[in-house]
Amino acid sequence: MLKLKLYIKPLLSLGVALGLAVLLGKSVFFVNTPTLNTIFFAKTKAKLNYYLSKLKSAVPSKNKTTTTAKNSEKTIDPTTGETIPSDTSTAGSQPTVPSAEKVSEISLPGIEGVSYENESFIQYQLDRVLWEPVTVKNPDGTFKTVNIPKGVDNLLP
Amino acid sequence: MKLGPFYFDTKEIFLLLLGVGIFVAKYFGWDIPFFDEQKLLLLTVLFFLVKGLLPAVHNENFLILALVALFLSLYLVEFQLLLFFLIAVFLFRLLKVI
Repeated sequence: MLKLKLYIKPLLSLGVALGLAVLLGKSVFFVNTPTLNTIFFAKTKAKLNYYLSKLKSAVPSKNKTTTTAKNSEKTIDPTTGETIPSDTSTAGSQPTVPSAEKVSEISLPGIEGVSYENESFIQYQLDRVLWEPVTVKNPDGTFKTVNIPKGVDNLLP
Repeated sequence: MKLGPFYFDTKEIFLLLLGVGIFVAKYFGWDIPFFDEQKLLLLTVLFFLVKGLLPAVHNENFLILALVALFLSLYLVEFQLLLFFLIAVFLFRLLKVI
């Protein structure tokens, strides 16, 4: 009992110190309070980089080559070899959003089943202030709220 | 062990070696699982400061503080870790733990 009493004051001090540090850091000095998932930041970073590189390689819009046929201009997708009609690929227009089927295989860790329409969209989501629920669009047009790890913008190179 | 004008006991020697090890790991980019080298270096400096200021009789309380701070380095950011350490030492002194 005497031994236990010896630890009351130190533990009390540590508890109060922890509470004050978190509260002061958050409210007075505006330091971002992380969540417990911070522990897994390193793994999350590695996974996100992996999925991001996978996503980049899956997006075909930047690699399009244009060949001129006899009468009309055609765009050939080098990844699939499909010919895209000229009326859908006008010069100077925005990059073509890849079809949902192509990118639907890629999903972030822990949020399987949710797909992203293009690279810029996923980059936008990653660059946000995170740990918040983020609404993403499914390939079928419906929306779903998912949680994306916070601080990914600091983690990505 | 006496190094120049300073006397280092066994724990301080280990702490020094640990600091050097963390620095080397940070320099060469070696990954320490779950831990951030920057926070560990910050904690090493803080441990040295507090260890130097405290007499050996308070080593047990210091060890508790050190272990809790080390554990919290997984969770808190550097600034909050620093705040926690300073507030804890202040409260230890206020409550006459040390």
